[in-house]
Amino acid sequence: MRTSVFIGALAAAGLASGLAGAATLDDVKAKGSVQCGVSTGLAGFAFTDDAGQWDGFDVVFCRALAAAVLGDPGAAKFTPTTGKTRFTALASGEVDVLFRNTTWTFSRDVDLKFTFLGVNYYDGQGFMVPKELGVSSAKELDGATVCIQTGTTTELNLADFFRVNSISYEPVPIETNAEAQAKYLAGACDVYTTDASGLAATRATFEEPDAHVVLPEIISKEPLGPLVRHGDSEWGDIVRWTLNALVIAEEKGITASNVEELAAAPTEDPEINRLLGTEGEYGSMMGLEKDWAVKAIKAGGNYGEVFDAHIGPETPIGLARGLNALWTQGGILYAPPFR
Amino acid sequence: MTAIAEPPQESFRVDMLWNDSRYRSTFFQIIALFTFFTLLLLLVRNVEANLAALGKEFGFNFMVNPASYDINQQPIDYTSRDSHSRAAVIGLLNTLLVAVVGCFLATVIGVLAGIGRLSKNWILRNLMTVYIEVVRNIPVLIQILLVSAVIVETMPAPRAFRGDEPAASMLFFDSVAATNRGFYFPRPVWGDGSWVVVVAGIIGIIIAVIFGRWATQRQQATGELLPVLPIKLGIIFGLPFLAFLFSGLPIGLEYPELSGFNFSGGIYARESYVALTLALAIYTGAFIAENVRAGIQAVSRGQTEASFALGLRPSRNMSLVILPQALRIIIPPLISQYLNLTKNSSLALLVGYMDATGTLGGITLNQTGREFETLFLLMAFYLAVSLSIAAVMNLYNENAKLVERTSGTGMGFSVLSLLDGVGKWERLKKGDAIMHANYGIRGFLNLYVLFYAVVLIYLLNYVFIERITDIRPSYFDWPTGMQLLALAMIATSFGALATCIFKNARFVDFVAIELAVFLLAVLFGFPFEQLTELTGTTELIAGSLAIRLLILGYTVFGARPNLTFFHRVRKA
Repeated sequence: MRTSVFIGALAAAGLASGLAGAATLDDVKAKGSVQCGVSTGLAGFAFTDDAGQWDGFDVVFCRALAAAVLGDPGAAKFTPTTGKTRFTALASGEVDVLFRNTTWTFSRDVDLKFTFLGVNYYDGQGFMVPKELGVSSAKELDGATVCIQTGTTTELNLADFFRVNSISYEPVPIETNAEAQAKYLAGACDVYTTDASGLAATRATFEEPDAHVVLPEIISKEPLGPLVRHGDSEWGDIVRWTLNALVIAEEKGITASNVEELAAAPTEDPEINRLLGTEGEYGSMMGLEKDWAVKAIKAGGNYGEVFDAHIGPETPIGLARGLNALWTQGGILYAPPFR
Repeated sequence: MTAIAEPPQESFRVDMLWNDSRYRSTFFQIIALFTFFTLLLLLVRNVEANLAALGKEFGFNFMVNPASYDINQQPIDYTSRDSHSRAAVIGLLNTLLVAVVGCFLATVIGVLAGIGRLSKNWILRNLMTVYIEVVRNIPVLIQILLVSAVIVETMPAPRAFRGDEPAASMLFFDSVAATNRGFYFPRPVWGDGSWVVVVAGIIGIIIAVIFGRWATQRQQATGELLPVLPIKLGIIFGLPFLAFLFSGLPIGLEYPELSGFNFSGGIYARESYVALTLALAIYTGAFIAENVRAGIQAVSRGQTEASFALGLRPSRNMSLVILPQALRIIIPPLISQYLNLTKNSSLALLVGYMDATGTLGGITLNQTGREFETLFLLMAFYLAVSLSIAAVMNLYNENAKLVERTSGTGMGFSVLSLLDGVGKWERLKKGDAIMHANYGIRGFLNLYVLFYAVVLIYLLNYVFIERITDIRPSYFDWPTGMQLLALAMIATSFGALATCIFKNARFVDFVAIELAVFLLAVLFGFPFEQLTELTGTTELIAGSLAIRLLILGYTVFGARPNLTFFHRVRKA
């Protein structure tokens, strides 16, 4: 009996893995929801609010995607993933897309067989230390104990940075941001390192944010963006252009409040018309409705609105636009033309 | 009616396959086997197809690439430029460190708690019951997190030791620092002339062994008991201490000191290591305690009464009458507790301890995306460790269990049976067994242990630990034949070592197989010259071959074997 159960389980596992890899868009439409892999909890980026609803910068992008594909921002479902589990979750088809502060790297793109679809946040790795240590530069961290989230690029950057600068350190690998926070606050590590945005988000949740400083060194490039599995370009296109649509919307001044009005009738600007479906058949080329972009923008606003609402200077996270400003405003945020 | 009168027909009909009890079971087993292999094939095909669809290839080449990540606890040298396979080895060593220390601690805790549970003292007995019942019924995962949280949250951070009026201070005359990052202990520093102390220690051990043999002989001849243990301890520790005093205190202590962010110097037991080992030991100890209690209670009360009637003191009653019988019952479940502890150590990453699951199955898996390969290696490693523990403990069990007239039969083929009628191996009857403490072959097994331990250490070091780029390609780049040969050499020398340690009669077989594998390795050109820089290739091969032949020769033709040991394997 035990053997037969075992064989059954094996066969089931085999069949289940055999099903992955079909056209994701059809799957998504069939099940009526988009499954997004997000962080297990990072203030500002992906967290559950008091009502138990997911919210945050990454989450809104996912809602916009759900709105574009299914017409309903509420059709997005979320799977919290750790730095370790995220790629397996995506590769196995458990999630349809990852919006999880994931750095775009060569090996992830090429060797792990994922497709990165753009950058929704340009980041870099930084260090946070308690103010009382009196450290003003990362080069003064000789002998320090450093908490890192395991399974991330920060782990590798850290090793390289300390080796190149001939500084010794003691790494403490940690699975989730919450655990790292607990250890750091208890003084079990001197330094917490992760992407600068993550540091700001984590610091914002501290009781005394001012007792901690983020050191000036940014030791790496961390372009964070959404990714999907290799081999399904149609689905990849949809995610890529949803992201681009929000950026173009900011460029063109389309906001959540005026998008309906602009989409009601063709405007003077043909790019706005093409984007909002009042000219051409751009939506149906991707297998979506004509007004896909309208719904995406209505879900949470354009890129700038999403940024300001969740991680911008007005929020407790308080991140400046910096690199993430539009290319016309001194940043490097730049979407390809919509035509 | 005529059909009944006919003689029974032997002709075979198809329906007899499921109707006739002679064929039925075989028939269904064949069907089951066929189905099983079909499903297995399906599964393998499926994996292949899915890997191909993802564009991934199965292979271990990634193991030689630089790992690029740092590991905090390094039993051997490691930098982030070393390969993934070296990082994996670090993880394996860390796992073994937890497993060995954890098993030892768990046994100590378990034995104490088990005996405590049988105590006549009401408080002690019930305290132990509470400990066992509480700990056994809470998931080990939660206990590990709890121990870790207690250390992290309640112990002072290193910065609390700083300043003119520090909030925390070191323990034991400023020698031990207990922080929430771990514990720092003083480390001995071996100065000039400390070899005198080491030599004195070795001489002390030899004298203690000789004294022990003499005391046993004397006890057997006259029945007089000597306080053997205190005298032995006195010799083993006293002699080096005297040498230490007279040679001008060559060994100093390096105390941990606060410098920069952390303490430096001394021995550093990380918080993650302490939390993991302690939690696992406490958890497994509760199970072992129950085994110990059950084992002791299973020995009939009449045994104690009889031994008291013979005039044995309670302590000797315990060590000579109760424990030898209780051990037979305790050891088999103890093996599975050791295995449990070893496997549970894979929860290490929870507290940030870099064991094999953390390095090979964690960061390496994640940074390379090779789930199949890394998990395959990881499973092979845990399987090898678990089987080794089980094998060693089974040997010990073999020693402890009841010797019966038929114990020697049913062992299957042994090299010994080739040697019937050769040398001293004449057939013996059970009645011939005479107790001679450490006399004959049994004493020499301790020397065999030394040889096979050296062989095993050199092999393991060469195959898995030694820095790759310096002297040899990575193990994963070797030709398949050479990989298998290396594994076979390790397995056989481990077998010989373990059987010699536990004085199991099977050692002859392992010695013979080890010799055969060694000859094969010489034949196929295993690079023995790279194992050690001390001698040349020819000397090394000739020397170790000579030692192996000596061991085998002495076993066969040497002094009279210890009969109580060897009669077990003789056919009854």
